Amino acid sequence: MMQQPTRQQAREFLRMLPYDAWLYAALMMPPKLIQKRSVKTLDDLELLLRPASNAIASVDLPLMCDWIEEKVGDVALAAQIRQEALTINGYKQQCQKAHEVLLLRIGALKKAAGVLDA
Amino acid sequence: MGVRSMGYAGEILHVDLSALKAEKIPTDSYVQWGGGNGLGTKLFWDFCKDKTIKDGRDEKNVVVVATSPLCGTATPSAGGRCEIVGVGFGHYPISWFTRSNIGGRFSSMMKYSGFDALVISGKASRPVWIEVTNGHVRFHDASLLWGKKARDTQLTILTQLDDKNNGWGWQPLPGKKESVAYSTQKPAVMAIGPAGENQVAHAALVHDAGNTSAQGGFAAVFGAKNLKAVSFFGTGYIELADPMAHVEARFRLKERYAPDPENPDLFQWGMLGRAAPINFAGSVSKNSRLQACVGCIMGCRVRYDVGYGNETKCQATAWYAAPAAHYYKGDEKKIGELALKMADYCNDIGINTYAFSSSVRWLEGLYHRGLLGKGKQIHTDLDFSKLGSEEFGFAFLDALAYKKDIGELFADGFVQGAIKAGLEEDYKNGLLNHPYWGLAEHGYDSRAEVEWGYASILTDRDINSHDFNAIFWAATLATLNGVPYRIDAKEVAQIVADKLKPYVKGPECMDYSDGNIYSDDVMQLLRWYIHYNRFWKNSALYCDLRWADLFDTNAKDNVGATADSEVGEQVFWNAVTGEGIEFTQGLEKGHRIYLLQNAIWALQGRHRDMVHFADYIYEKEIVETELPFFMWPCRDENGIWSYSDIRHRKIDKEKFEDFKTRFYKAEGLDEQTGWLTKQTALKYGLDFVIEELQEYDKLAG
Ligand code: SF4
Repeated sequence: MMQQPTRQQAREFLRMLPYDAWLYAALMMPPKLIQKRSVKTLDDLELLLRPASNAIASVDLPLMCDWIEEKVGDVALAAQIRQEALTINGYKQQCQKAHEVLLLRIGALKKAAGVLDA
Repeated sequence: MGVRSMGYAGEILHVDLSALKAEKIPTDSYVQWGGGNGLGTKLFWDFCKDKTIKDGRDEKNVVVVATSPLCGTATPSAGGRCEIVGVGFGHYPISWFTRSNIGGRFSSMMKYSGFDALVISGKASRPVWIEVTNGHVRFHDASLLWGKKARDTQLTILTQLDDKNNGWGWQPLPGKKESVAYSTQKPAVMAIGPAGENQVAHAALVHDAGNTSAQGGFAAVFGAKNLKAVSFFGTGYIELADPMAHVEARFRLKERYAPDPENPDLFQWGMLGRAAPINFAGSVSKNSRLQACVGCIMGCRVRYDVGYGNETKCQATAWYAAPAAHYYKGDEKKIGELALKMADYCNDIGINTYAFSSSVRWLEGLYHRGLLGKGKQIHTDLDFSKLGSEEFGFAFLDALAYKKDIGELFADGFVQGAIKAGLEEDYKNGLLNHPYWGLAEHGYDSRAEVEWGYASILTDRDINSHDFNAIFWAATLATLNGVPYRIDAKEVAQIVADKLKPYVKGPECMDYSDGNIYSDDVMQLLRWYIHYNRFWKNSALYCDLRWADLFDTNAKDNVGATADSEVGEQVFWNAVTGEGIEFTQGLEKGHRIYLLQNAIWALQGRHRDMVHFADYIYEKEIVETELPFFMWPCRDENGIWSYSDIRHRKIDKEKFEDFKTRFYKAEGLDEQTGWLTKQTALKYGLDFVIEELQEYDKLAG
């Protein structure tokens, strides 16, 4: 269970990051299509990791956790993904678990920040 | 008309736009060059009187649109391709003699109308379009077409050619007795849109809904020549040397390799057997059907019931989906709709998505770095905070195509624009990732996938040839999705090595581990790759999305169709032409074509000292995290094969220079300059280049 963030922390974690803090990732769509993405917010990351039948996220998961910790600043979320997702077998499964953890966290952050999802 | 060799239409059409005159030349003396790239290169050599030009928009430039004997036949994934060569536009520092390719039915119609190639020289004094119907050529005033988008242009021409004007497309056939000579077939039109008219480097030629000749900048060259469109229409036929052998080989190939369109296997390994389509449409349409070029065994494009996005594919459908996903917060319907609509619009204004799609991210970065915006280092009225929105997408494309706003700065190419704006450092450090000749990376980093990078820098453009890259896709997708590797690393290396004989000794050519990427084995793989491309792919015109089929899990033994004695490239070639060549003789032809092109590049000013990547390829390791793995067969220190991640490295400049030296030597080029030597010219029957090279002091040895 992650610690509840304060309103200020939540707003901070949900913010759009400056250019030099973006995470480079992609969606890979079989049989051969890459859709390169710049991940600028936790919302972007959620979209990237969202399970889809015709695509899979392409992101270096350990580096993604470092990014959440160092650039986004959400140490608890990074730790939770490392613990819950990176310890299981298989990249796809890790992505799915990371997405689950992230989705819950974003919900909690938005609640704490008083942000309504559109 | 000369002797009609099997598979050829028999004549080449030369149009001199300056004089608005057309002449016909027998194809026969050019048959030794095969078709497409080889045929076009030799025609360029003969017709271009000043090969020192460095910008394709120069009036002295000659553009050749060339077919192959296979065009207009049912050769699997080869019958519908068409090659375009000439001095291009948009490279840095020099726009080389280069190539491009387009699919659909243009090349078939050209042949059915009686021609194997179209040579375009000079410059029209006012906008024109060319109509070719069954051997008859007419120049039309294109003043009223100028300003029209590419699809509208095609439609206007088709309507104009529709004699009965009743929408059924009755095409009159000149030369026949009036009243009886009509056909309901549709002419094949290739046109430029506003981007071509405005002569921007990223302009594309467009044919039908979604076929584009994008890389090379030839649409800008058409624009400079005041040539709006070319239309071919014919009721002729192509004579095959052995039709039965052709049909049998096609059935055999289909049986062995063709995928099942109803049950696409997304994790198939190979090219011919790979599932289709190759595009991004999100959840836009539930009803769609595949669409293909003439002769293809498996279309890679789609027609949708929603009525837009038809025939679009690949990067054209992917480039805007990413910003749209951010902007519309994952609204899948909207993202898919926009992906297709943007692709449609690109085809309508005639613009090459590959040229700018990676630059969109760079531009977005400039905006966030405070360097791009109103009154900034690069001024723009485009609101980059709305990147991803429908409104921004259209405005951005208009800026590029109509040379407005930032489109003016980047009209000669993104690297050229960056330098003009004082941002050369971004080109050097790879923020603007244009690794070879100022052209955008295709998506496969040259530091990892070295054959792609090496071939691009040692030729004239992004090689855009997925022969070996199919391994990356298969192994990386399997790793990402946790599905088993269908062929293990050792086996795939062996299968490929067997296909590459006699160039390579064994499977070590496929070892992309850090220590092996400068080896003679990889150098030989590269030579095969270039020769294969220059003949089988760019001249015979086998489609890059299906060939080379080196390995293929649709076959029981995992061995692909390439070079196979029953269904290989040469089987169809021989059935059409009756030449009876071996697969490797095609590679020799490819070598000869490449040598001739080196002669042209030397005249344009190339020297081996210029043949190097952008600085970041040598100076920075791959740090981007967009690919968690870049899987490739590698051997470890004990010689054990596995799929390994080949990111996290840079190219060693000194070792690459040494690699180049060995490559030049093996090719018969001068090691000091990279130029053709007299000895090689004589050995390969290129004696016709000697005098001109000597005149410009560009012949080595
Ligand atoms: S794979 Fe696509 S581009 Fe290639 S020949 Fe077939 S339809 Fe045309």
